Amino acid sequence: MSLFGSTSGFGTGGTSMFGSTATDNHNPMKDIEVTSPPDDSIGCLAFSPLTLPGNFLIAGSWANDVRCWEVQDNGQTIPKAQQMHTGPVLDVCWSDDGSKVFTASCDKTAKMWDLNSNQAIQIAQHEAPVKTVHWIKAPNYSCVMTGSWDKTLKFWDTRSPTPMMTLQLPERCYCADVVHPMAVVATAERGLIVYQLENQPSEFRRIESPLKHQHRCVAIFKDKVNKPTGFALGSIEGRVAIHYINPPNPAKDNFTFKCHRSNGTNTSAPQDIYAVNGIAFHPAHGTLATVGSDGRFSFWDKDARTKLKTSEQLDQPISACCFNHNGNIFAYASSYDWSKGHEFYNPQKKNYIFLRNAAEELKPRNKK
Amino acid sequence: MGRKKKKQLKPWCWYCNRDFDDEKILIQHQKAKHFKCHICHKKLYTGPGLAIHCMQVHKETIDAVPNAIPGRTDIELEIYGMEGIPEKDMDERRRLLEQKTQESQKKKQQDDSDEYDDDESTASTSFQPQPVQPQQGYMPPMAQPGMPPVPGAPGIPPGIPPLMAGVPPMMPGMPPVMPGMPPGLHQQRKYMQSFCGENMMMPMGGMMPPGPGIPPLMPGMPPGMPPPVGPRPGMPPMTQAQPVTAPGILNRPPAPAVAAPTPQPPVTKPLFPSAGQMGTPVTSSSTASSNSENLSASSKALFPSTAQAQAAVPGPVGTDFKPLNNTPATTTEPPKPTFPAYTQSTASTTSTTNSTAAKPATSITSKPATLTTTSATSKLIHPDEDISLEERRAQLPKYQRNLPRPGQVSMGNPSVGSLGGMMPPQPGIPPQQQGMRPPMPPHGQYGAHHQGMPGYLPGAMPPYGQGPPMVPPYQGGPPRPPMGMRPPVMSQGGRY
Repeated sequence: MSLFGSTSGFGTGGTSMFGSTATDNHNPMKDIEVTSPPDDSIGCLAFSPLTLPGNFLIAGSWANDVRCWEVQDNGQTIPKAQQMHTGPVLDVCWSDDGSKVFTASCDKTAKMWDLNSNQAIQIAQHEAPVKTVHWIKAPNYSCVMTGSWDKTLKFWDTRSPTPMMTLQLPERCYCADVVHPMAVVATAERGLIVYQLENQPSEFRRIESPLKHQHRCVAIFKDKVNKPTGFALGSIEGRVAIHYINPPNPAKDNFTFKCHRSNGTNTSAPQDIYAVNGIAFHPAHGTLATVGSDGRFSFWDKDARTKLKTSEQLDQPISACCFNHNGNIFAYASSYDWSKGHEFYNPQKKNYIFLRNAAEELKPRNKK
Repeated sequence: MGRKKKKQLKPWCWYCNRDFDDEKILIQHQKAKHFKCHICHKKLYTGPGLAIHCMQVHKETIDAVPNAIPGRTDIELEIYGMEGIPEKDMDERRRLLEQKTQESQKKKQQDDSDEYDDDESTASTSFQPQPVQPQQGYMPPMAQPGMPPVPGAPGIPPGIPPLMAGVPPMMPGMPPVMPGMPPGLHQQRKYMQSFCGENMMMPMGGMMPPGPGIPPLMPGMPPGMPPPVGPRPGMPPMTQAQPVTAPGILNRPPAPAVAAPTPQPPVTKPLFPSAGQMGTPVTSSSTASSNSENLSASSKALFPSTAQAQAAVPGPVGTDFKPLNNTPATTTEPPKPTFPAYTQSTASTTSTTNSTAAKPATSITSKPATLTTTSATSKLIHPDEDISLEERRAQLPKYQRNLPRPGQVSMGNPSVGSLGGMMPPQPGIPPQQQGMRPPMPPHGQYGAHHQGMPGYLPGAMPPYGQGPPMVPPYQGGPPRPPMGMRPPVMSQGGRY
C-alpha cells in the first residue's frame, strides 16, 4: 500500500484542522480537511458505494494522480493508495461492488484500478482525452461507459480492448451521468442526449437544451420510488436547469434557476456570473448541491424550488463535489478551475478537499 | 370560465392591470412585484406597509410603488388583492372589459348574420352565447400589456384572427381548448412569483406564446393552420445523427411527429416515470399541454417533437413569457423589466452571449467561437473561447509534457481507438515530445488528432508498454495474473 510519495512525506493521517488564520479564507466553513490533498487542481471526487463498508473517497487531479482515502466516522482521513495516469485525471467512478475504481484521463485512456491488488490496467482507449467514465450495471450486462472529446461514447467490457459499442455524439462530451437504466450526456455546443440502458445502451432522446450556455455538469435525480426521472444540468452561466424526462406538464415542471452569482442586483457594479462546476444529489433526501467557480456551494430543494443554504465564499473556486453513499458526508474540492484563465493560476496555492456533515442541512423544506 | 363576480369576473392587479385566476395568486403577485423591498427583498403586504418598512429599517423614502404602470403608482393607497381598489377604477375596468367583449361580440354577430343570412335569426343568435366564453378566455391575454398580442407569435398571425372570428363553425372542437390556456398562463406566473429563494427562476413557458398555436397540435385541425406546422419538419434534419459503429443498436424510427394527429395516451415504456403521474389527463383544461406531451412521449425516437413541445420557449423567459434571449443582435434589453434584476442581467448576458456563441465552432481546427462574456449589467467569469475550462487547461504545455514522459510511442493515426489497432511503436517522433506544443493552434491536439497530424499525439500509447501488443492482456479472465505484473506501468518507471 503506497502512501502518497510525491508530497512532503506524510505519514499517518490525522484530522488536520488547520485553524484559519486571520486573513486566510481557505476554509471559511470550518469543514474537515482531507489530509494529503493532491498537488494540483482536483477535477473529480467519488465516494465508495454502499456495498463497501466504511467510506472511501477517490479524487482525481491535474497532477495525473488518483488518490484514495479512508474516511472514518470521527472525520479522520487516512490516505490509502494512489495510482497515476500520464495525463490529468478528469473523472473517476466506482464499480457497484466497491472493488474497482475507474479513472478517465487526458491521456486518452481509462483505467480500472483494482483496489485489493492495487493494480490498475487500461481498459479503454479514445482518440482524445476521456472526459467521463461511468460504471453500468444492468441485469444482463455490465460495462464501463466512457465519453470523450473525440465525440464518441464507448462502452467497454473490461476484458476486451475493443469497445462493445460505440455511439457517436454530436459534439465533444463534456459531462455525463448514469443511474440505471438512464444515462444523460451533455456535449459541447449545448448538445444533450438521454440514453436508455436496458438490454443494451441506445439513444433515447435528444433534447433541446434548456440552457443557453455551455454545458458543464449534469446529475440525474430519481423520483420517490427511486427510479431515475430527470436530471439537473449546470452551465457556465451560473444557472441550473431541472428537467424531467416525461413530466405531466413540461412547461410547469421543468424550470431553471440562477446560482453562483455575485450580488449585482442592488449595487451598481455588474453582476459576476460564475460557472457551475458540479451538481450532486443527496442519495436519501433528493435535494441537491451545486458548487461553483465563485468558491461557494449551495444546497437546493428542487421540489419546493427553494434554496436551502449557501456557504461562505472560499478563496478558490470549488471544482468538484460528491455525497457519500448515505448522504451523511458532503465532500467538495477547493482548487483553481481555470475560470479566469492562465493568468490566475498559482501552482503554489494549496488544493483542498473538505468534508462536511450533510445529514441535516439537506433535508427538504416542507412545501409551502 | 366566468362565474359572474362583482369584482369583474377575474381578480386583477390595480397596479399593473394584470389578470389573475384567483385572488390568492393576485396577492402573491402583488407581494412579489409591488410590495417587495428593493433593498432587502422583504415582502410586505401593502403599499403603505412597504413605505413604512423602508423608512424604519433602511431609512429610505419611497414615493412610488415598484413596477406599477403610470397613474397607478400611489404608495399611499392601501390595496390588498382586490380590496381597496377605488370605485372609479373598478368601473373603468369593467367598462374596458365590456367594451372588449362587445366589440368582438359585435363582430361575431355580424359574421353570423352574414353567413347565416338565409337561416332564420334563431340560428345566428343561438351561436351567440358560446362565442362569448372562449373569447373572454382570450381577453385577459390581450388586455395584458405584458402579453405578446396574438400577432406576436411567429408565423401564426394570419391564421389567428380569422380563426377566432370563425369560432362558431369550429364550435364543437374549440371551446375545450381555449379556457384551458389562460389558467395555464396564470399558473406559470404563479410559479414565478411563489419561489421563496432569491435565485429561483421562472419555469419554461413552453406553452405560452403559442397559446393560439396550441390548437395546431390538436386533432381535426382545420386546414387553415398549416403555417404553424411548417417549422416542425424543419427540425428533424437538424437533430438526427445516427450512431456509427453500433452493432445492433436500434435505429430511431423516423416517423415525424406531425403525422400522428390524434391525441392518445402516451405509449412510452415506463422507462423514466414522470415526476407526478404518468399518463395524460385528457381533460379539456389540459388538453393542449397534454397533447404536446403526447407527441413527445409517444414518439420516443422523435427529436423534432420533443424539441417543439418543450422548447417553444426554451430557457429563461420574461414575465410575459417571451424568451429573453431569442432575439440576438436586435435587443439588448428584455421587453419588460418586471424582474429588473433577474431579467435584465440574464437577458443582456444571454442575448449578447447567444449571438456570438451561436456561431458554430464547426471544425475542430478552426478557432473556437468566442463568448461575449461581458455585458452592461453582468460579467461571465469564464475565458472568452467557447471551449470547456478543461479543454483550455489541457492545451497547456505543462499538462502535455507529462504525457510523453513515459517515452511512449506516438501513434501515427489511431484507427478507431481500439487497442488492437495501435501496435507498433513508431520511432522518430520522440524528439517532439517535450514542450513542442506552442506552435499548435488552440485546438491543436485534437485537431491534430483528427487529421493525423504528424507525430505527436500526446499520450497516444498508454503505458502498457512492455513491448508486446496490448492484445494479450485482454484475453479474458485467465491472463489476469500476467497483468498483475504490470505495476511498473503505474509508476512510470516502466520500461523507460
